[in-house]
Amino acid sequence: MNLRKLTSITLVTAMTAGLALTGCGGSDGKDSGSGSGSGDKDAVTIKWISQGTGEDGWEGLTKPILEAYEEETGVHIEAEFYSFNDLFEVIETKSAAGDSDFDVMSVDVTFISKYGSSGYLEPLDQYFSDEEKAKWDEASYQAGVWEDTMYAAPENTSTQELYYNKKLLDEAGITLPENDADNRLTYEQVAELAKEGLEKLDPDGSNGYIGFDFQQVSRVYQMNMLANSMGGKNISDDGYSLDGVVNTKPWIDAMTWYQKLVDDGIASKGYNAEQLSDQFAAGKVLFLIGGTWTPTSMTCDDEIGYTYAPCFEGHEDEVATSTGSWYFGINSKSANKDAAAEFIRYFTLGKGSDMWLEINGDVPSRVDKQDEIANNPDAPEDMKIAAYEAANTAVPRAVTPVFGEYSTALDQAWEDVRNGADVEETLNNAVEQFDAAVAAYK
Amino acid sequence: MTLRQKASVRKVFIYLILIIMVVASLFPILFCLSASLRTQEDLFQNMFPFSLKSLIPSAATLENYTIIFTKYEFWRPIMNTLIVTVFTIIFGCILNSMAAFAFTCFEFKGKKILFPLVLISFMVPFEAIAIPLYGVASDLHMVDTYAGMIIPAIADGLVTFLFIQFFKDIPPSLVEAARVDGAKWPTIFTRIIMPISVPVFVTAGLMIFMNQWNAYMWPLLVARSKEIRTIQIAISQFSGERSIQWTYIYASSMVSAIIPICLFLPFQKYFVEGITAGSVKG
Amino acid sequence: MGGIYIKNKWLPYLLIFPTIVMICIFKIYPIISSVIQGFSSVDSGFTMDNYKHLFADKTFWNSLKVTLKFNVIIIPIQIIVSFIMALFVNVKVRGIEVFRTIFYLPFCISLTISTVIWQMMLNVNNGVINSMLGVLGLKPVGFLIDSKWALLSIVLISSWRGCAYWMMFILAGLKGIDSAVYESAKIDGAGFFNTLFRITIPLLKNTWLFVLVANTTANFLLFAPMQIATDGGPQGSTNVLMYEAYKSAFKYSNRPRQACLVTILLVIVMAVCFIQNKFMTEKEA
Repeated sequence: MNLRKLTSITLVTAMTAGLALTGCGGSDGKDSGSGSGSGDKDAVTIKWISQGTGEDGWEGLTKPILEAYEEETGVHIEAEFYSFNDLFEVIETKSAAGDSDFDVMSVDVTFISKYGSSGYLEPLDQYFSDEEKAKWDEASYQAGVWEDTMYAAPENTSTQELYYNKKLLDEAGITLPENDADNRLTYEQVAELAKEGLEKLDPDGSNGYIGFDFQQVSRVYQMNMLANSMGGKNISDDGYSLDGVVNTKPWIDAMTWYQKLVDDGIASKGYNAEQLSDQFAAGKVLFLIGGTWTPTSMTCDDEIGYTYAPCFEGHEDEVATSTGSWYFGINSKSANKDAAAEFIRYFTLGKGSDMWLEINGDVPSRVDKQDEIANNPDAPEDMKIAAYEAANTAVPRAVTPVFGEYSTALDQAWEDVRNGADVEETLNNAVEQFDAAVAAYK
Repeated sequence: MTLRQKASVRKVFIYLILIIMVVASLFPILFCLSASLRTQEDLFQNMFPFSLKSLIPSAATLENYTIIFTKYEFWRPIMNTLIVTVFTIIFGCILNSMAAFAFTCFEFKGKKILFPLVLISFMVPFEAIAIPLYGVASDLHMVDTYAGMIIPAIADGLVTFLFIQFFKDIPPSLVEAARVDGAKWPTIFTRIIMPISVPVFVTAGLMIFMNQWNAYMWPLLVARSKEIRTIQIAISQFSGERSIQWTYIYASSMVSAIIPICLFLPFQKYFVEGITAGSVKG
Repeated sequence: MGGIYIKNKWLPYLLIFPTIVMICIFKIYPIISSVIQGFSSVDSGFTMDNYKHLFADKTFWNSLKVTLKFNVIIIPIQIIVSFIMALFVNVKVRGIEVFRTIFYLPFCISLTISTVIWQMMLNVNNGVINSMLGVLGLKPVGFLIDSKWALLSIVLISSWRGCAYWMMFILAGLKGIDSAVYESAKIDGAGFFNTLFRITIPLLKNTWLFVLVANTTANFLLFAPMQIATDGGPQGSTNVLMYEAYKSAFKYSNRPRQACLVTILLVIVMAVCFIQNKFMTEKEA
């Protein structure tokens, strides 16, 4: 740190001297930079960095909530939105540099233990009482905890359902068998229906239709659901090993099944997750396992049907769905921690949370809201399904401070298997790769 | 074959190759252009399998362009980027060429240490030094200012190196003749070296321009507020966690590609005229 | 001007001062602090553990192999192609300015966007290229999902845009050659290739050194196309060191690992450039 201060001072002197000497002194354009509300000393300003830019993203969606908060409390929330991928770079750089210029950060569930163990996040136990903690469902609360310390509060959660294109199924003359939470469709059944559909609608493949696919293809968030549905676990209990976890029968069976689905031409190759969502929205996919946001991101809501996520034949009692979404955390370097915690409480438990769930339409992490959906006859059916899954079949993602290494190894494994790599070999490689990466932390 | 026939065969051959190269250069851009003129749904319905429909919009629309300029105020990042770029080019060209002049023309103590320093400075990726550099920028209160984007980019080892390599080609006789005439060093630099090196200055300017124009990660870190956001950041705002506004991205990419081209055109003549015959060694 | 080194007490220092100071603060200081981090343990003591862990990791060795392979392919391709392009846009035929501008266009599309476009064109499911191959009766090629093809596809994507850039530097060099040289060669009856190898290429010596060093650096540090188009796959076949370094810093928050990787990259790039420099100066002698 001292070196940095020293160099900085040297620089200022040098720059002034340098520019003056060359006769082109002067500033480069605007230099005000009134970043973090230093104007009014009395009014507290909380800076929140988050993701989702634009009017249709969180930037637009959260605006009324932030305004309402300022009106109620007088605290101004200065929110900064980045695109999804950029947020991680920004948090990493700022936190690693020990920057205190933001107070609250949005954290993807998978980064909580990493940021917690790296000291980026302030422990929240002193700000949230046990009663408050009990207001979130257990899975959502636990995902914000690492080594018995709560680091983040859930904004909402997510789940997966089976979506299908009604129009295409009608055209193919396919009707979905009756099914419900206790009597689900099986993956095998869906694959069979998709195959049947493709044979009728696109026998030579010239329409580019896809039979049955996964919205978050080659991402552990969603693909692990297949292995979980066979009874496989995500990671060892200590969060540091894959050996004996993924090189096991459930994983091998799940991946082999998926690989066959691709080989049979029912699931796609070569599209990434973004492209696959777009393909579904463009009406080219018959069945898709997707999140609750799937219909809202589409222009043709009426054409989309939905039902409970499938299970595997012979594993009917091991149904598993993906879960977890965004959390709020406090920057450990923040100077306004109390005020930051107040804002988080408002957004995760208070009125802000009510507004957010209303606006965003995602699955609540709050138990009372989940019950409300389950008991309200007027609630949309897909939200009822979602609330049911979140409460009953959700399998939390691997809780580990090495999630980055974890998802690198396994995302790649899913993608390689999709492209025809040998399943067992791929899984063994993933175990080896992960263990080598983790060795550095032991 | 007569000489004239030979010449026209040669010409036909050249044009043929040029046209093949044009197709290779332009095809992906045409794709980008066509995608910017259609709706997202239209784009994805016709993308795969590839057919003429993938290239020709079923109903061309300028809506994407209208939206990015009105709703997303795309002119603002354009202006910001131009401000950043212009200042970086001016200071960058002057300071780096001065340093290069010293390295090529003078013998001085410490040169053997300083020159490798210049070389090493561009051999490390930006992503690798982002975190410590952010600390420096933060200490200097450059976060969220134009200065934060401009000042760290002015001194560029690669630009200095470019000037050095081109200055080396200037014949010593020119400089020596001027010295015999009693010219002072500033005069030699501004009256002899600079005019003769216009193509290098244009190349260096272009290089700095494109660096700043395409800069992404650093502006993301030091220029976060909407008022000073640059063009690539603005484009990236169209990709969300769950959906990407591809058509906006293509439209804004077209706009961001056209601006450098418009600037490139008028400067081309300096390449052509360049160093006039006779002034340079054979 | 290469020959004259004039002595002057203070002028050279004055000239280099602003540039050197800024380079030291915005480049050299962060580089040094990065390098130091690679040798630092958790409690800031000196350690070789970070390197030990790295060298024990098969992923690292695979990345090193991929990086070298990638650069051995891409550097000569880019230099030769951009040289040929520069030669063509240097001829004096009608409308050459238009061609020159068109060839420069690819570089104006950002790397991210051009990767995305090529990703669609190279898609295995009837992307443009595979549709064309289909017309010729060939089977679709998994350009980006087949480990035999992925690295070459990345070379293609990067070169489509990169060659436009390097062409400009070579063109600037070509413009610096006095046309009288060519005329006298013509009078001597030298053919096209003779002129090219005996006159043009040797005269571009200083340009070559710049282009070689800059191109080598750029390609060793390139990772955006891999990140976007293949995510380092399939089966690690495009996982270059720089992408590994990027992931270490921003996905794993493991900065010591990143520091080690970047230091190794720096050493490699310096070594390659040193050899290139030696090679160029020897030719001169």
